[in-house]
Amino acid sequence: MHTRVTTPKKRDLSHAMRILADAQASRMSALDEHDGKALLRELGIHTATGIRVGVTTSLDRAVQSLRPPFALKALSSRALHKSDIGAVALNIEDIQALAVERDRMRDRLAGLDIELTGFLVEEMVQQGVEIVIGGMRDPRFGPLIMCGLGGIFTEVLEDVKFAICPFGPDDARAMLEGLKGYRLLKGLRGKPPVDIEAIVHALIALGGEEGIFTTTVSIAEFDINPLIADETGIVAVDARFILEQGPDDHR
Amino acid sequence: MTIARTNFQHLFNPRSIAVAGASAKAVAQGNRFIRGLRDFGYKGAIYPLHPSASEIEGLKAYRSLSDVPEQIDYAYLTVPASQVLGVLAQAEGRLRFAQIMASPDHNAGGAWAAALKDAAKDGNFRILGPNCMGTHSPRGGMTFIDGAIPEVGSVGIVCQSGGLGMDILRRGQSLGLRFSGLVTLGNSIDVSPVDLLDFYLDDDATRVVGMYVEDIKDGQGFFKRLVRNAGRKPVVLLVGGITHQGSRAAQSHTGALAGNARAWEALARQTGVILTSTLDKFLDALQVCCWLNPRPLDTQPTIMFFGNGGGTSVLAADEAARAGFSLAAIGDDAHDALVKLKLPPGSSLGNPIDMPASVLKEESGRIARRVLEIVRCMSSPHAIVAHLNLSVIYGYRHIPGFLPNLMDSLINADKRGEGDPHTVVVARSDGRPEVEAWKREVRAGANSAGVPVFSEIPEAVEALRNFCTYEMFLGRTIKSASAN
Repeated sequence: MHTRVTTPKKRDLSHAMRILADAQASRMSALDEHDGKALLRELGIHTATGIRVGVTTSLDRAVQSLRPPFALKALSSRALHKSDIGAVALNIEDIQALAVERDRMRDRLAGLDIELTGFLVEEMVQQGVEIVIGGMRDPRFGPLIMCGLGGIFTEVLEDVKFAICPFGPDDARAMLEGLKGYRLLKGLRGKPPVDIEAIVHALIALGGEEGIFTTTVSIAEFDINPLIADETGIVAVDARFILEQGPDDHR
Repeated sequence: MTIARTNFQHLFNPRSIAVAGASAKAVAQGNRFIRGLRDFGYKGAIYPLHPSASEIEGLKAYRSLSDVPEQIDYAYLTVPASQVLGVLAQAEGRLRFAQIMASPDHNAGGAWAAALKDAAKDGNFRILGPNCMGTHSPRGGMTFIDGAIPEVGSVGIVCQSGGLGMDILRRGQSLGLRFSGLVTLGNSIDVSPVDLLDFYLDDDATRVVGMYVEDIKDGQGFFKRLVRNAGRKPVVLLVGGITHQGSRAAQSHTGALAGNARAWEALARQTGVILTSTLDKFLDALQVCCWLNPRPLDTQPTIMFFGNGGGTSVLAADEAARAGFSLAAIGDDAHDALVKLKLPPGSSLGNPIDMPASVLKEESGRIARRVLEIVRCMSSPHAIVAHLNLSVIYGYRHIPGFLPNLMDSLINADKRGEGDPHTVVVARSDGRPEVEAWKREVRAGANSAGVPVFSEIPEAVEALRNFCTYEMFLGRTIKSASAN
């Protein structure tokens, strides 16, 4: 039972807005994953702990604050389907292996026109229930936020719900309760329920009255896929923000 | 969109009507409209407009709107598209609403619509249509539909199709629905479905709003108006083209999943509107919204079936389960009380309660009242579906007063209270004329007592399901209001 009586305090979005403005100013069609996750953190949505590294930077010092095993991802200012082009490597055991993998990935991607902006090295995220959150602009109703269960639940069963922005916490909960796989969130077979309120907060930060997707027009559409939810909260593992092209940008 | 809110009272209560498209020599659409107004009891002034005739339908005809001696509340234009601008150019601020039936020529549609909008702006009037059929407003004695009943009702309709609007009115009337208004809007180039939703939501005569939409125009405005309504007045939607309102080319996975009915489904969940998929379901939802008093729900609703037919009862229980209802339990007390009635053999006293016609006929049809009283008081389901297989009941027509007594028992009009279970009646017929006549009798009796009637059980269950979804929305809204 949620009897929250306080309204959440207004978040300062000025840094988030700067990330978007900078990307638009440099004519990027999408935020790279590093910037996308920085944006999410500004919204109070946790992400995997990670560091941006250059294409040739020495890794020893750069990633020493991270705990292995690592995930390595190519960064691009274009919306990439990373796994399709071999731009992701997971469960890398140590820094030596990471360096080898980074060089290999760089060489593999060299021939592709993907506007490589570096690499992202992250700690691996613990297992939990995979969810997805996304946003798009509907020609009739304006901004819509989507939420669903990840993996095959989204890919095959399309077990997702949409909400028209702006919406409130009750709408966000009703959206989750409407999912066929809702019981996975409530804890199946002895597993504890995931932190549903953390998902609700994320949905409100994106599509609520003050949500960034509700109040700004620079994000055309986005996928946060997946987020890992467990009883302690949610962590965004991947994020793609596709930007609206500026009015003077008719290439 | 005009800045000042349009006063639609002049549309629904026009003191003066101009008609362009009536003939002095033939019976054109405009003539039929004038005759229909008279039949319907319109009391205001009617001004036929014609370039040459001096008299039409016994009324003085005028060359143009500028010749008419008073302000025109409503102009009904059935002239061809090419003549519409000519008629409206003479409006000179003397007209409030113009309803335009003509459809634009395919090649010049955009330019024509733009010219119409300019004319409306210059002449300071609002346009309904084009490509529509008219406005039905019993409170103003105005209709465009042959066979419309003049009684003022409580169902307010906005319809973006003229033909479907006539279906809604005529078939709704047969179901016992009476209308507070029905406006066909066609292409809605000026007055939009949202404008009329706004009117109906504030209109005291309107208890439920029904909308057929193909192009909602201002989706965010629609959404926000419904959010503001917060379910206070039920709204039923029938959306045309919902399966191919695909999303534009999307770069995101989310965009690719967003097509089809997703946004409409979200709208229904967030605002409590009832989304239906066929004309029949739309009318059935209007029935329950019109007659049942909503009781906010916070748990899965229970249902009770009562009627004749064993297999029918079993199928009814299946249908209810599929729709998410649980069957109301008949507790020991209720069971004991039912046993004490000493019913003749043949009844099954669980839920569904199956009482064959041979039992229903007891006490000339009054036995059902005592059974249902026990159910209402001791089992208190959220809803009772009373179903009658009239084909079988008709076999007992030799018993005087059987059907009226049975109906009285089911409807229990004199004793119904606020917190009572919703009662709906299913009148099942085999199509024989004599049984159909009984069905009409059942419907008339039930409707006059404010009880919805359906032809088959699945239809009743679906209508109740829709209504309960609305009641769940109200329950959520109330809970959230008290938590804050």
